[in-house]
Amino acid sequence: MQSDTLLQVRGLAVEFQIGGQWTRVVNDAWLSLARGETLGLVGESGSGKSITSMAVLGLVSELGGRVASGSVRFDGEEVVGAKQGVLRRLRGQRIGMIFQQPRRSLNPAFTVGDHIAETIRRHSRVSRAEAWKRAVSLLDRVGIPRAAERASDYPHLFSGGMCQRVMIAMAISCEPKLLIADEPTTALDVTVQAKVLELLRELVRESGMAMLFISHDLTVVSEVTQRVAVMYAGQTVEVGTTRQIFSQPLHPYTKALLASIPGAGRQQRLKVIDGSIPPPTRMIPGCRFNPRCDCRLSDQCQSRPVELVEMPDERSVRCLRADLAVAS
Amino acid sequence: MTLLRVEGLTKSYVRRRNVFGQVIDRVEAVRDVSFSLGHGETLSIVGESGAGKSTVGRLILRLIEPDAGSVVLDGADIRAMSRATLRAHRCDMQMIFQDPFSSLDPRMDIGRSIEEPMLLHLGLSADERRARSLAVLKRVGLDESYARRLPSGLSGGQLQRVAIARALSLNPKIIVCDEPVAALDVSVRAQVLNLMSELQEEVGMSYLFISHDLSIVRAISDRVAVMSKGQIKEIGATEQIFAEPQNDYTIELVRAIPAMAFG
Repeated sequence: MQSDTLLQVRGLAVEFQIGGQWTRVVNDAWLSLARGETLGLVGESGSGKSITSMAVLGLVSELGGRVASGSVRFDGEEVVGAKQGVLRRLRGQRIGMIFQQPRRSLNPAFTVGDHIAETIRRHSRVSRAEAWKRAVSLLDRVGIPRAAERASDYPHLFSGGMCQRVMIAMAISCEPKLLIADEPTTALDVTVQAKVLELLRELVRESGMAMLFISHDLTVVSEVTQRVAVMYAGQTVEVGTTRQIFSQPLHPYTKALLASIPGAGRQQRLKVIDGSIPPPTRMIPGCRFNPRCDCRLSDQCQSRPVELVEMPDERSVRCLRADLAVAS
Repeated sequence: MTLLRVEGLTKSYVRRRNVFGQVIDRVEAVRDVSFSLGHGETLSIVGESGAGKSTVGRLILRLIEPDAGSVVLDGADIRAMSRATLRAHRCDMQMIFQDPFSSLDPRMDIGRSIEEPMLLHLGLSADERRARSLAVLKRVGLDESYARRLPSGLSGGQLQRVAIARALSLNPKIIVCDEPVAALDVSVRAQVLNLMSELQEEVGMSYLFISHDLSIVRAISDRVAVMSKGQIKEIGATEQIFAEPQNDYTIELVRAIPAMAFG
């Protein structure tokens, strides 16, 4: 493993019990993230992007699931099957995480300063006073005005955007090597979203931490990431640089997803992808996108699973007809 | 031609009372809102959460009572109507909500859910209701078998089609759509929006489209009203609002729309 690779997920399969049956929710997910890099993880609901990030934190069993196969290596250590002690040091200290619902992630009975100070004291031996001092400077860093005063306020006095800033302060309090941001701006208004994205970009640039940015919003992803992995029905279907993915997508699903974003101006019809995502309980054999695909081959695409293949230009794609896309 | 004219619509809520029950703090959710909507037109109301867009939608349908102002639909003043007259006019105004899961009764099959408004408003026979519910289901792209299924067996996109079918069954003149695609996946969103445009071309009803998603609004609306803090800040033709916003708030809003960095 190269030393500049921070995170590597290979052939990850995760199962959950659905109606008493162990069902694969994630099947063959692949990711790699270099130090200091920002990778976008894109997909629709049920595509497995959040579960993949939970596996990175070793949280699958806490959610009632199990890792069926594959490996997750973070900073040279295997996460799958790691002991609780190792995982505890991983979460919070080496990997920070922020979620979609910032208010729901904060305890209403504690001040925002307490939240951050406790996180700091949990992972490093410092006095209460020192932890509080650091909490205040972190709040200041994430752009909370009058941080020293506001640290003693309770979460209900903060707006959604401000709560997300508090979450970010907590997540970066132990100077993690990786920040996982799961739909961090989905619940925020557009003007607030723009400011939170700017803050994230700034923090990544200054601290040199890597970021795994999970989102269903392609435009937002195109603004903050260097590389993108697209997931569909539990599988990674395409990985490449943000430029490659957005200007020359190879997988038909990536293409369709990009085409369905409304462009500027009044339109008669938007481009659609017919059909819907297959549920994990009725997974189709062969390529999982084939029933919705324009360029499927009736026999090959439908009969056997398709592997994720590395292309000459260093991206990977899971499509038998990718050569077609390259040629065109 | 104007179908709906709204003038000086105002609604405030009590925030705090003192120990004697006297109101000491009020919040004005909607303040002096006026606009009109033409036949077959799509007008979008945009703004951030708490701007009062959904309240405007509900006030127009008189799901909540306004404090002041008038709502005139096709020459009839909605606010002056008695409960009985209002009920008779409900057919003309229908609503689609954001969350299709919670707007359908989980124990009622899809067919009955669609027939229910007809039962209340149209006085059709059971056979007529059934025929009509199957016809609207088919129109929104769901076959007959869906009529016997329960909401739990359908996806979000399919449920939103059912909600559209139910609104459609009464031949409304206007449908208020409150964030109808916000809960749907990107690839399903376009299907539902296209269905809505097709139906509008066929039937000619008007849409009042409430949304915070400016890229969708730009793609589907004839005109746009920008709301903030209970007031309409700017209203105009869609491209005019997006290309040459005049109001400071609109400028900030348009500037914050994420733009595709590549492609």
